[in-house]
Amino acid sequence: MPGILIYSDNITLTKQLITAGLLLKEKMNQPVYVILTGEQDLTGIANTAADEVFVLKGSNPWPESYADAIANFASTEQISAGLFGGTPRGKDIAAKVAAKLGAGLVTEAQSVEFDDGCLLTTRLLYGGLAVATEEVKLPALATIAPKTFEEAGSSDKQTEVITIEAANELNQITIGETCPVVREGVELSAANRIVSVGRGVGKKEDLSMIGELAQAFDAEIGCTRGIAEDYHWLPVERYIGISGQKVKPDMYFGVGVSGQVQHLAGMRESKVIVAIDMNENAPIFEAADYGIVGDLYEVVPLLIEALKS
Amino acid sequence: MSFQLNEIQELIQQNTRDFAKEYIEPIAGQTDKENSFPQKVVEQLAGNDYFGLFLPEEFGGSEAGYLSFVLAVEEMAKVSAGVAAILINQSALAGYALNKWGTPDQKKSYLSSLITGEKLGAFALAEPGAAPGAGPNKLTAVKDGGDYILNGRKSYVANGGQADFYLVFGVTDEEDPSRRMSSFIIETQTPGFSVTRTIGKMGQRACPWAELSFENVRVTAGQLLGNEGEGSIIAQEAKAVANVAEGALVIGVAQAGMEEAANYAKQRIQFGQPIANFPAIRNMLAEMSTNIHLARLAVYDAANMIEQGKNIFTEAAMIKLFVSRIGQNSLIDAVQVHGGYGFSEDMVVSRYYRDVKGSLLIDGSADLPESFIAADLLD
Amino acid sequence: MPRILVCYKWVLDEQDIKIVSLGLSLDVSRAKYKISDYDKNAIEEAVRIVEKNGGSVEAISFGTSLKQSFKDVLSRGVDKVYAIDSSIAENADAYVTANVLAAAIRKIGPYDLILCADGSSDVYNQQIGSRLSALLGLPGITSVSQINCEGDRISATRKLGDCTEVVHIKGQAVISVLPEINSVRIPTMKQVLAAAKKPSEEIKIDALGLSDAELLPKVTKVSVKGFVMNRKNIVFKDANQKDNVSKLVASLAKEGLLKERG
Repeated sequence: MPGILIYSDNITLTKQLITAGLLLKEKMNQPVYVILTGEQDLTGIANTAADEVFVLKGSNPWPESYADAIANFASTEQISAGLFGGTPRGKDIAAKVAAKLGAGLVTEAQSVEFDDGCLLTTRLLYGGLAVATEEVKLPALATIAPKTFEEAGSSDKQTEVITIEAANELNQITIGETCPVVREGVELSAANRIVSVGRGVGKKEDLSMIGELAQAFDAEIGCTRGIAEDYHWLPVERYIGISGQKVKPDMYFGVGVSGQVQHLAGMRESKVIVAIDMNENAPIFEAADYGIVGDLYEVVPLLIEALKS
Repeated sequence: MSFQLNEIQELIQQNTRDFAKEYIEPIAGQTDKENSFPQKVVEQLAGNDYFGLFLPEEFGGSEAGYLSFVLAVEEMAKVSAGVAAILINQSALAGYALNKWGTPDQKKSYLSSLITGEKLGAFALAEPGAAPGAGPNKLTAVKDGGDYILNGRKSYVANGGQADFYLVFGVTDEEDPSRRMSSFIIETQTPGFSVTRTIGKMGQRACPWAELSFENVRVTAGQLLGNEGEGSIIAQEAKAVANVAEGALVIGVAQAGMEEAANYAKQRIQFGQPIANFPAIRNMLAEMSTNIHLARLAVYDAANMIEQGKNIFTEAAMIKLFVSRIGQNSLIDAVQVHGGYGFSEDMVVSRYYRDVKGSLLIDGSADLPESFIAADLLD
Repeated sequence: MPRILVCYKWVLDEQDIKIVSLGLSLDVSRAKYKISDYDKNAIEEAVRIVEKNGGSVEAISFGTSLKQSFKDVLSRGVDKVYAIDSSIAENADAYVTANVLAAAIRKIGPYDLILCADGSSDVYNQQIGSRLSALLGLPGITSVSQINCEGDRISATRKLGDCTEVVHIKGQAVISVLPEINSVRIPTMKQVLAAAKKPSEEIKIDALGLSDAELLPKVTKVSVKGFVMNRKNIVFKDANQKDNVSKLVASLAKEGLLKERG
């Protein structure tokens, strides 16, 4: 029966998507179906306001191997809308499901509404330069980035969980080793304060000065794509931007960051944005709440001193 | 006829822009400040086939034509005039001369290694006491059996001190003014050859100048480039061809200076508005833009003529006269737009100003081309 | 020796797109086309695989004004380029684009490896590789930061936020690569000149046997507007940096952003 499908390989994100699904339900008057795969943790899912919870169970633990099964479920139930968690796995699965259904898919939708028989979505274009409002014919799919919606709270009802057998063996693919990415420090997207390094910083050795500044703020260190991918001064997990980490801390503090639109798109939802740069005309100042124009080698030590006292 | 570039020329331009941004820009300020030679960039120039861009495929070149070469020089000069000057001296002076007058053996050993970047070449014409690149030559090359013995000094030699071989111009016949000079290929390890000093420069500092000394330097006739007495012809033609590339260098610097000035004018607020709104600033920028555009057409036209094997002595002199003048004027204005800041080393226009200044001085005073152009018209 | 196909997109350079302050519309009149940045990494990766293992690299695109892109693509080590040049591309969504590319690949394939970028630098939909794999019935692997080919086996290392994962594939595959997989080499002058002599082939969209429905986008744009920053823009630019710093610290204190004491 037509409904709104929710799936993410990340269960926290699933709960956020349930919130989005329930908002859609208000206008669409269709039930919200939550899909879990394999051994995903059910805790806190069945007692949300979602209408039905399905667990697809197959022999292959690889989340991506469920793309066919999810597509089959979606076409059997004739779902009208599908919301997928915007993780790397989720985006892959969503696109494969969309291809199998012959459906439209909006990537990293920032808002999703039901309007005039279509889904109306917004998303960024051109590296964050523009916002597109798009109309998607049903069945319509969208991926949604983490933290776009709050997690759904629990309700007093306890939804029945239905398990469906899924054939998800893959002959040509085997999964080898999986390694956690070693991070120096906490996850950037969870940091409350971030000091970010750009090309205005002249040498790798100068990162110690930036480290001191970060410490004075109790902040994590992030950087621009150039610092991570061209100079390899910091691991790629630390670069902020449209194709890197998307952060929204209480404070973003750019040091020698010029503020290319691709970088801005990754940090402009920060609560307060501060910048130090030599170039008065750098676009970062347009995106900043506070800024100092000046030589960072002069300003940063003064700032560290001021913060310490 | 139009100077609409073809797809390949546009791609050469685009890729050179990327190349300059990736490899030259990071060291452009530093080489200027430290007077250091950008050895790594020279290797990258060779690796990406710039030295042989217009030279024959037979010796490892690309035969892309002189206009393509000029486009590459222009793009590099936007980032570093010094690096562009290294390229001009290597390819348009040493490379051009070797290709036109070298024997098959000379081309095989010198032109090939010049194109691969294995060897750096230089053109040693000027002597101490004369203006750079001009004046009477005193270095003598006296025949001794099958050999020549060179004695004297050369100065203001670009790529000097870094080059592996020099095209040296010496007097072989005191009597006949038109056949007075001959050109020799001198390798640096030849006994009696020495680099006596490097000469500090105001601009284009990535491309060093050196003074050379020759004391009883003995070379075989196999080192003679062209025929005996052909030195003046070689010098005149190679320098005319290189002048066209130098015009492109000036245009590149002027364009970069103009863009800096325009950006600055849009951002700098005075009396509550960007200075770009003021007629005085707008007029300066409009004149720069017009001059640069017209100068560029003259350079591309001459480059095109070189590709067609035409004589370009007059055009090269016109470029020398006009392009260097508008280059200098553009940078005076570009600095002026920046106001007091333009005088500070923080602003890249101050480097551009020094870089472009040399183009009027190098190779003789500015009235030299005028006399040439007038003679062509009147005599 | 793998036969590789790279999908690329010919996009407007976002650096040249200006936002018109009135109505926040986009002015693209000065924007030039370029190979989508991340597609250059995909091309580079294909070329590196062939440099190591032998084989061939072909490229394909669906778009408009594609002829302008051929020499740029071919100068990057690609042996042959295919183009489906059609005005349908102007409004195509990922659904239509994948339908067109899959139909064309069925015509000119098979390929041992089809490479895409993880997303394009204009719309960054991140769908084409996954959709192609589904439509062609091939394994599809995304977010790949390293590829190793050995015979008919491919190992791909994926970067998935908090972990890396190695995927082994036997036989053909569609792989979407991350920009960090390599750094793109600037074509040499010889490569640029050689590009003029390499082949290109245009494939007519009518010859692909696609129905009207398959060419009708599911996602259509209602509006596109420039993103507006709404910030305080308080910039301290006194000559005395000490003053600037103390003003900044005072502002940050007011925002409650200084480190808690204790």
